[in-house]
Amino acid sequence: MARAGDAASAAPEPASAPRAGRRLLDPRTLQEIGDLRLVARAVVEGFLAGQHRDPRPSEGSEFTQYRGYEPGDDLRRLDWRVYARADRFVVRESQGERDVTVRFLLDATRSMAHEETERTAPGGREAPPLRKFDVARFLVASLAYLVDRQGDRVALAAARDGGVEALGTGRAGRELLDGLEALERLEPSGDWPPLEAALARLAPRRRGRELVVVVSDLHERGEEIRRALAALLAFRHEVLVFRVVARNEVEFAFQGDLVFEDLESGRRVAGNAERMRRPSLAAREADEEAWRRFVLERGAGWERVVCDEPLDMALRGFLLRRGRLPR
Amino acid sequence: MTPPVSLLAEAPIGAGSIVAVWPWAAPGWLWALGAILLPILLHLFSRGRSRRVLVGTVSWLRPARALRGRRLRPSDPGLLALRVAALAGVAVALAQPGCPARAPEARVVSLVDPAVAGLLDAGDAAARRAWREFVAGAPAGEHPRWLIDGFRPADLGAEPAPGAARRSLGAAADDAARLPEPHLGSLLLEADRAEEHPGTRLRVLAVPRAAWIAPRATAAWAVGDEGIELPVLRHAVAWFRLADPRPNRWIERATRQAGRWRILEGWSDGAGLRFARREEPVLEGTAVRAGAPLAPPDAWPLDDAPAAPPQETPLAIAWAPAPGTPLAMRRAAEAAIAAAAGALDLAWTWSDPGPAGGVTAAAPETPIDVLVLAGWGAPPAMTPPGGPSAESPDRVAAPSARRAPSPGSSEEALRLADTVARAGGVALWIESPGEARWVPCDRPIRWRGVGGNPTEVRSTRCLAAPVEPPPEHAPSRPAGAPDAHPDEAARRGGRDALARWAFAREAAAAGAGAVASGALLERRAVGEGSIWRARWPFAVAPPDRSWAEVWPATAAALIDEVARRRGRLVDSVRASSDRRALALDQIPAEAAGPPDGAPTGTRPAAGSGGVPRERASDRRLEAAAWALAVACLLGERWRARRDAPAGGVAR
Repeated sequence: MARAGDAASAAPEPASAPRAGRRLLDPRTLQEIGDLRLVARAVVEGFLAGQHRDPRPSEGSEFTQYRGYEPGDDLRRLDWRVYARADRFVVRESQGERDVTVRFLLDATRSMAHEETERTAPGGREAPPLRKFDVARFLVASLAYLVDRQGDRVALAAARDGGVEALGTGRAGRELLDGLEALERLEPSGDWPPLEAALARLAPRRRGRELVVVVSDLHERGEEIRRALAALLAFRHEVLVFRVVARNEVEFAFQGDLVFEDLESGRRVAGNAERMRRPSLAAREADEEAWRRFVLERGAGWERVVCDEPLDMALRGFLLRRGRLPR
Repeated sequence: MTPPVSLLAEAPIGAGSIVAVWPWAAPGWLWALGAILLPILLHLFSRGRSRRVLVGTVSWLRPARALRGRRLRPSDPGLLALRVAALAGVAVALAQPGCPARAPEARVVSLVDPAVAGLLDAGDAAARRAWREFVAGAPAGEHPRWLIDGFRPADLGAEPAPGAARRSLGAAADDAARLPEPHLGSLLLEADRAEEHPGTRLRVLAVPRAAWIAPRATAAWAVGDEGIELPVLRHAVAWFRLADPRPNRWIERATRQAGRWRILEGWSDGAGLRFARREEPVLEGTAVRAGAPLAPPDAWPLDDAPAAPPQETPLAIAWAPAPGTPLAMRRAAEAAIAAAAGALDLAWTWSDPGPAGGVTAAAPETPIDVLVLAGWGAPPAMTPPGGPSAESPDRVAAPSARRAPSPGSSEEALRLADTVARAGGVALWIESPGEARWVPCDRPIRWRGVGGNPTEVRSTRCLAAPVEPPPEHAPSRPAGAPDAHPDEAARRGGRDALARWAFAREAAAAGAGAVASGALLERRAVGEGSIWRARWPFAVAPPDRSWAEVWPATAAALIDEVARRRGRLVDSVRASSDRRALALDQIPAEAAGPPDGAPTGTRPAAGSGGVPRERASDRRLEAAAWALAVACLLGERWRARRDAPAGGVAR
């Protein structure tokens, strides 16, 4: 896990992280919450509770506009004067906070439907299967919430069914909420889009660099994901790759004679799990090492998220990467 | 008689290995053990239905190379063993294994044909090999027994087959075939003892010619030679007869070939003496009591036959074999008569008049009801002097007065028969098949199968006595030529009898009929009595049927006729005869009723001064008739009262 260049390895484990906060970062706990907005808030708040420094940037000084209060807005940003005059809640927004756009590209292909073998919830109850996609969705929601809290612009997109679709309406000020609603309804399907379709959506639309967070299992038939990442880097975007892996993949925790079926291609491989464990783990390690090297050699960030592990490591890695961005 | 000492010394007493044969009540269920293959196959091939796991990619999965080989190995041997054990247990339970504790109590009786001893004495190599094999198979401590005591094989040579030169027993294999059959009495004793000890195994080393184990269950048997009266068997035992010395297919199946010898093995399980079945579910030629485990479908229902009321005065049956009659024929005839009488449940006694005529024509010492004659050559009694058509057929020729009857000739037999017949008895003349000939019949003869076999065989040929040739076969004799001696006529008529007998066997083998045995009786009235002569149209009998199986029909018919003539046991005996399916349809019409002038009541017993015999059954019948009449009368009166109107005025 600890590798050179790995953002997560660079960040020490917060020894003072409250146990409740750690528990709230558990994907299985988040799975029971269900609502992505609550999930994102719980993750971020739980994560931030253990930080020594408030990562929130200071508010901008240049007023931009007022907008109506919406649930979830920080009450400290309410303009009480306007409330005294007009008897309505408005939030004051400042220019300069939204210079950086953090674009989340979620892999929503069928391979993300890979499930964990373990189905035991923290309370000992039997929980629905935990998919890679669920963990990736929690991660995207949490990061988006964190980004929004930091005052950056959030853009959500999902790659599936041969294209990249934007999540949410894109209205100013409601990117996060609309995006989370769309993300909650999203289900994995189809394959990773070809490069042309990906570029049509990932090409920069405004000046300035973007932070593109790719959350994927990096399973590809050809090299479509590599090409997409290379294109993003060519646009001079800052790219952070979260590779979501399942515990049963990492440990090959299968038993008996099994028939493994590829979720995307439908190809089947039959064999005895015990006999397949060693060569398959070796092949998977080689595959991951190749991906990590591919990402790091191009200046992108690399983070691995195991489905059944808390998300704080991922958040920490994100913040480290986020701090490298110019403001 | 004992076997040679040298050979007995070779017997590995105590060294024989006891082959533990587990007794199974239903060994057919052991085939169910094959069902254990089912869980094994399911266990092996169910591994092909592996569980499906959906994964994101299979690109880095590396299937194991030895997957197929491993699939054929059981993954859970414990579960597989449990399933196999459960199925095997069910199969074994269904097969109902016997209690192994009874095995040490099993008793083995080894019997050896005396002919074996004769051949052993003669140094026959095959006999020695068979003997060694027989002894080697004997259990520890078991001494083989000889069937006949005090009857040395050398003595058997005194009665060779007719026409055969006397030779040493061991000189030629053919002599073995002419040896008498194993002593039935001894065998009966052993079989009876075996009945008392379930699990007894009976081993017989016999010459493959005529080894028979036991007759029917209810057949009483008395050994005339030693005067030993054997008990009636309580259970039916197997009838096992090797009638033909030639290779026989069912003998091949039922016995173990040991060179030219057969070793038979049987055991008793309480339900009867049985023989080892090798391939056939029921030995062909084996008749067992109906209802027994091994009873063939056409077994005679001996137990179901209604028992006839016992006779207070037993019938006296005299057995008069001619001098020189082959011993095998004598034994067969004795067994047949005994079986027939026993099957009819008639109390009877046995008297052997002896070859010299213990029953003399002049004054028999004991009243004889039935005289059985056999082997007396051609009976001239039916031949009227001067030719077949010269006189009335009812007239029986008197014994030749021109010269004294020579011992063993048919004339002497005729004198005996005539004496018995004139005293009111019945004489049964049994001809050997070799003395008869085939002649075309003027009408088809239907023979009904024995033993419930409904097969009917139509035959247009029958065996006729040589003294009664049909006109086309009548010996051409110039007019005025002197009559040929009856024996000469018999010899002339029997020249081609063997050939025709062979033809009959071929016809039977070709399926002319399953079993069509019967007796064609012909009766000639002689004074107050009659002489019965039996023809033997048994051409349709299979080769493995012998006289002993055929003669009971005639003997039963004889006894039936005796009883009918005397007005006794008419219904019961005839019913028994019907149950036995005796083929009596072909009895000539004159045999259906009593002969003219024959007494229907009691007859004066010979030598008793003409005092009529009082029969208890007569009194019982009379009492029963009176009781029936009274019952009918009372019944009529009761019905008249019942039908009378209530309150009516009685007339």
